[in-house]
Amino acid sequence: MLSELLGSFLFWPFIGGLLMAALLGLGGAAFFIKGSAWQGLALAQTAATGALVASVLAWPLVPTALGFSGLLMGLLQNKKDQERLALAAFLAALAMTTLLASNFSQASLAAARWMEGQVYFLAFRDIYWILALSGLTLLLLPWLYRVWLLSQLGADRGCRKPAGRLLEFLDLGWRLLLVVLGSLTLGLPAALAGLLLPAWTAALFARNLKAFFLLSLVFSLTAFLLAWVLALWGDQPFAPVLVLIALLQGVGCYLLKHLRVRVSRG
Amino acid sequence: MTGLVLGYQQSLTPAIHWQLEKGDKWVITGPNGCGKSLLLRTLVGQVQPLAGRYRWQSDIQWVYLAQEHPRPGLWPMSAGDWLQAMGVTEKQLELVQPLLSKRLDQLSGGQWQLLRLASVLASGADVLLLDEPSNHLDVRVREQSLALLKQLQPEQSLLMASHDQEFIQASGAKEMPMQQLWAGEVTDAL
Repeated sequence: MLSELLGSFLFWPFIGGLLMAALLGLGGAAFFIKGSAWQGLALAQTAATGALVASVLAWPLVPTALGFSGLLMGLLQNKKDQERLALAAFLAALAMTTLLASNFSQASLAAARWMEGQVYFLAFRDIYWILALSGLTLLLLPWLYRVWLLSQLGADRGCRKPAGRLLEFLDLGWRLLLVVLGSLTLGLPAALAGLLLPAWTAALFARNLKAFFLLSLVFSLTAFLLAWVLALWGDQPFAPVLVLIALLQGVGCYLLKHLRVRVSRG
Repeated sequence: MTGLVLGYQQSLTPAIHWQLEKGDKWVITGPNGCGKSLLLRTLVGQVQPLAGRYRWQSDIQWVYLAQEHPRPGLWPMSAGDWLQAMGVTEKQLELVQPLLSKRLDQLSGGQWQLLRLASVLASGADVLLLDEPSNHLDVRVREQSLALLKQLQPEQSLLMASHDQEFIQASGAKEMPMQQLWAGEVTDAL
């Protein structure tokens, strides 16, 4: 049974996708709690533009996508109007992506991969990136959590030392890598859905910060598993199915919560 | 503070020369826009002074309560998480025990302000910088806040911006109009 499973050509894409869904759930919670969901949107679209440029110029994919998103993340730091700036960057990157895909055949193929999310065809080099990011996350999690927790203090200052520039930079780098690899492996819409929707859903229920991160991760995993089964069963592209499942999951949870409140009041 | 000039693009105050000693308790008073909050924000490093400098002794631990802390509509963080972030243990804060398991977005405005104030006052820090701490306090939690403020230790220093006479009296602090600070009259008083 195990050897059959390991021999299946879908085994490693499944493991890679599952790990990435867990990471996106965690990272999405970090974007949510820091109030920078717009940033995630712009970063993911800029990574796609970088990937298309890489495909046209025959540059290495992941470093180029990382470079483009990293440049944007640098620009977005210390700007007062981050939300609107991120939205403008998202629009600019979207326009660039469309123009590149329209004018270069290589870019057109790459764009299809980033938009549809061909998780079933994940290559081994992609899995290595995901495994590396998973290991890095496990290693860095206590420090990342510290940055996320202390970011909630706003202008107030307590007895604990601030996270410091090094840890802030670590958090930025980790989130950047997550967005780029998430978009590369699951596709842009699915990565964005994984970043935004499970965290949003988890925020409705979580009683504290740790529960919020855990719930976001769980919601992301359930959406991934359901989408995996349904997309395979219905022979549909993975990314749009995941987006719809994550949305339905969020709406269902919202309705359930409000129904429960009404019943308990009644 | 040595020749400290406060302002954003233009200077709002003349150069300030002043020193806060151990155990000093001061309330800065003055009309809106005279630079009370700006002074506190400058001292905690959130605003750069236009000129001059200030220095904290290396072994001094300070805490700061900002004038406002707006809460997001959906904030999956508990009061216990807040204390953890502030570096305060739950044992130090019996007063807010009933709030600890509640989410911050489910507290009333008064409870939220009480939690913030209590976590700063219970920190045991050497210097407390409080910017309008009585903001948003409703009648129910006001008495509790005043009781907390009365528990300040003699060796703790306090620099507070406030218009609230009850708070000023409870803290046992001396009033210092902002204009006196500019003129250096307080330096003489020290």
